[in-house]
Amino acid sequence: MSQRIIFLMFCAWLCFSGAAAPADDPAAAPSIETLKTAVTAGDPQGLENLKSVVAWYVGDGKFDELTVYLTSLLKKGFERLPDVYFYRAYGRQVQLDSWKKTKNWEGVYDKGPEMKTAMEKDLAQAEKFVQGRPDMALRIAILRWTVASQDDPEAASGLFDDVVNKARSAATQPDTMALIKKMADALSTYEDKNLARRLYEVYASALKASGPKPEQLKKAGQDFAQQKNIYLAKTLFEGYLEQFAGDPEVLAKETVLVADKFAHQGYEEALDPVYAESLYQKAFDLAGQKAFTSSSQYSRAFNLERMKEYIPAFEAYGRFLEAYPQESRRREVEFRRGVLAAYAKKDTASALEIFLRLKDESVLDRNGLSSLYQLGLLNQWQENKEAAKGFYGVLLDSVTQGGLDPQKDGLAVLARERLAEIEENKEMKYGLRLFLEGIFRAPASPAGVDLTARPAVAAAFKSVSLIVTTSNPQTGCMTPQLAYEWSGEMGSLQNIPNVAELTTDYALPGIRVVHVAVLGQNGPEGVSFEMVQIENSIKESEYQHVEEKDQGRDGKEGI
Amino acid sequence: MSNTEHREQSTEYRKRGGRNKLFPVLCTLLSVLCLCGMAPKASGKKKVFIKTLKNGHYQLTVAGKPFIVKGVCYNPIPVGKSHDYDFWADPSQPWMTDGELMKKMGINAVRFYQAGEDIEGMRRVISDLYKKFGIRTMMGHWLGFWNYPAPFYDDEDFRKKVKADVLAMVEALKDEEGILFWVLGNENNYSFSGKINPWSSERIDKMQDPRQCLLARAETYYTLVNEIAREIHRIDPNHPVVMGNGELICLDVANEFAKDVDIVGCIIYRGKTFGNIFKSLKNTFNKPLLLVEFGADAYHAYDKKEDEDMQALFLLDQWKEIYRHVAGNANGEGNCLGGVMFEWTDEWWKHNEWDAAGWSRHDTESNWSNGAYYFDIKAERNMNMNEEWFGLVKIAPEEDGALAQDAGVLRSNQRVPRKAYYVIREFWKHPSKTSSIKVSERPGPGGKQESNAGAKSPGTPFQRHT
Repeated sequence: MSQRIIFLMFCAWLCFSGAAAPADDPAAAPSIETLKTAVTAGDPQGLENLKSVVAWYVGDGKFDELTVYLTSLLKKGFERLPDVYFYRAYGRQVQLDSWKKTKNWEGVYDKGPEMKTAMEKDLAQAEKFVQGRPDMALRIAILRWTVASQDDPEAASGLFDDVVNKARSAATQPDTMALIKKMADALSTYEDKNLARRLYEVYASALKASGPKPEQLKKAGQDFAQQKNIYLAKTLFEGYLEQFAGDPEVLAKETVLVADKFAHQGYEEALDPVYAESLYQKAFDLAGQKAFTSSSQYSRAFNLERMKEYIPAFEAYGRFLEAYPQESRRREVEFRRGVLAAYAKKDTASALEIFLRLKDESVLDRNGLSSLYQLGLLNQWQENKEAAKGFYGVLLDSVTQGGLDPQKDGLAVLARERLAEIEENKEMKYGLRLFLEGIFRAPASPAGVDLTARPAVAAAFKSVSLIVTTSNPQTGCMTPQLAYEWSGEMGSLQNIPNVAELTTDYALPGIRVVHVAVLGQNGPEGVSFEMVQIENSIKESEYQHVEEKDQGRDGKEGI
Repeated sequence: MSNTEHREQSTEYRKRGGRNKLFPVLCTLLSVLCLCGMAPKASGKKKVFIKTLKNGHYQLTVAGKPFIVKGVCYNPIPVGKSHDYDFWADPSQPWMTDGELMKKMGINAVRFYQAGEDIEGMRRVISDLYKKFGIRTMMGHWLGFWNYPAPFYDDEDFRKKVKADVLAMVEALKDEEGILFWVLGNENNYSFSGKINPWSSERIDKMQDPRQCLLARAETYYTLVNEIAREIHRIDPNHPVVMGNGELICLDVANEFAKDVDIVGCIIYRGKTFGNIFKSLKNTFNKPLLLVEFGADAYHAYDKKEDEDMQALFLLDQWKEIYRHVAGNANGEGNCLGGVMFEWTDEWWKHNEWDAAGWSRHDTESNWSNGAYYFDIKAERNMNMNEEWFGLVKIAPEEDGALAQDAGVLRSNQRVPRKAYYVIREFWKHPSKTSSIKVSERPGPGGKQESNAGAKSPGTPFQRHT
């Protein structure tokens, strides 16, 4: 069954939701005949009984009998009760839905038009008697839109306006608010997000109009953010921020805190990175760097990097270093800047300067070792082979000094490969050479190829997917045949297949640099790179232990 | 290795289910005679032509009546068979079952991608479809696009061979009552960029600049199409020539070099809407437009299950847009002659044609990606288009694998219409119910209402001004 059918069935169910729950003890539940006698038009319990009777018929799939029963009520003094007409339309809708569920298309399309006409008539009739019943008016509007939008959602757009209007009128009642939100959630999941947004607006306005404290709005925003209900979360957070309008500095700080919630953190997909950056910028415009803490400045830079806005990311990382020179993440940020300088800005001089600085400070952490490899690689590319040999040599010594096995450590393995190329006067490994040529020699920027790690921040030994996407010219159903040449730190993968998506894992913390070059039938299509951060979920004290464990993993990465 | 044998090795040629073996020697000789201008001139008035109305709209006229093409691509490969199955000679005659269902739905034309080997078999299928169900045939030709190793469009011998092959087909079938159009090529223009089925020549390679190479390939190909179109007009004045082009790519070049083509046939996969294609075409290559291939698959690659609703939704919107732009609708461009959905039945062999076991399996792995089909674009690696699931009807393999008897007609696979079948049927019955469409159209069923109403026209031989 398709998502849309589920959605429409859900909408139909929504109109009905709130029906009396079945009794815990079926034996104690009143019989259907008893319930029928207790149906009255004048009091809430009588209406609940009617709802229960309808639920009984619908639950048993007795749609024709339901129609007969409801029609009989019209002759018994219920002719001004909107519920009767509404339920008759609802029953027909559920019958149509049941046919859709079983793919009885002949039923749907041979009998459906007639049923829809009858439903429309019933809903029009129901609407005549909804005075003082805004919840029923909303339910009628939802069902009418559901019926009309079965096969033609666009044609029903006018009816959706009516749903929104009725929702506004009915939003003051808590039950109806819940109905509006459920409807918006369903729209957001299955349908047009713009329609969902319109109902969320109604819901959020009603929520704000109910006079909550700002903290309550913030909490509601956080809850919706956790539920990944982005639009509603944004609306409520913006409502929360309104209270600080008179104090730009506080407003800026609070805005940054909200932005952090939408920005890339690396572990999972961000809620809305573009929105986050717009909030960061707004905060910066309000109060400058004062709006940010070290953590939020890092978040901003990292968010930009994940958005592949490499040059702004490079600058944002720079502001982080300037403002917080003693921050514990300093070396990690320096390393990121080095990689961005080399492969995004194509500024090898700056990159070499950064990596040298990192190396001079220490070669005993992963950032130091990674910098040594990058120094070797960039020098080798620039034909400074003696310098490259020197850096690779220091890297191998440092790995050994750290008590690691240079035969297993990932960076050491790469350094030995490069050293062998220099000593044997061979060209760099094919994939790596293609990548560096794509970065430093290709006339156009390699924008057509994108490499993304999911997640970009992972714990050791956890799977990381490396995904290449390409922007191909229009070729219809014919897909260009592409080859994927991977290089860099590939983790536990060996015998890397020539595919666009790989899954690997890494044993120890640090930032791993992965590259890819994509080849088409006429030559290189483009290159891309990615930084995967492996978190320090394994303490330094366990370093040796991990190394031993790694050595036991045949064919797996050393560090 | 013969040309035919080369083709047999081609992947994509097989994917399209074509059989492009050379016609019998007699037909080839006939085509040579045609090329030499020795063939007898066709007589009589045009049965199929395009009127240019006073407001500039293009209206297809068939048997003297306005005609909107309500077409479907037809390649009835049964479960367990592959591209090389000769459906024209299928003893179970699937076109009889299909024709009946198509007629009930309102389909008035089918598109075959490529002629078969057996001329008599083809004539029988075309005739059955037309005489029994009123369904006309658009007969296609790949123009050697899937030749192995490449279509050498810049090679004179290759061009001659392709031309002879097409003209032999036209000569053999032009007198069939059910013929509607000749369709030349299918997305061959995607090869101009060199990324798909690449071909070149020494002359083109010397240009070096990729843009110049692309334009040179386009000119080379479109001049061939034009030469063939001109020859077809000479030997068959009754049926217009359609050029099958992927999107609008390079049609500005075609405007210069393929003027003799009567109709631009676009292959478009843009999801719910064709976008600005109708207006754009007016500005680049002002010819009548036929959407010779469009549609949606019925498999939700993200949810990993069949989704008939999704397919129906896309197809309905696509047809609504087609109807907005046919002649007579003041709100549209008036240059659209109709559309041809891809496709009538699912084809179970398409995912991996080299895996014979897969021909009996309805594969769910996607073959390509298209963000315009947004419901399932979040599928892994955005691969959301499922080539084996485009059918308006699904096919169910026979339980015992044998042919079954149904209503006096042998059938090779059961047909189960999907939701889209009914949705489009309803739309065609009442096109104005769901949109502001006013269309005057009346196809001539079964050829009974036909009259020869052709006349000379400016532009291509198939355009008349009214």
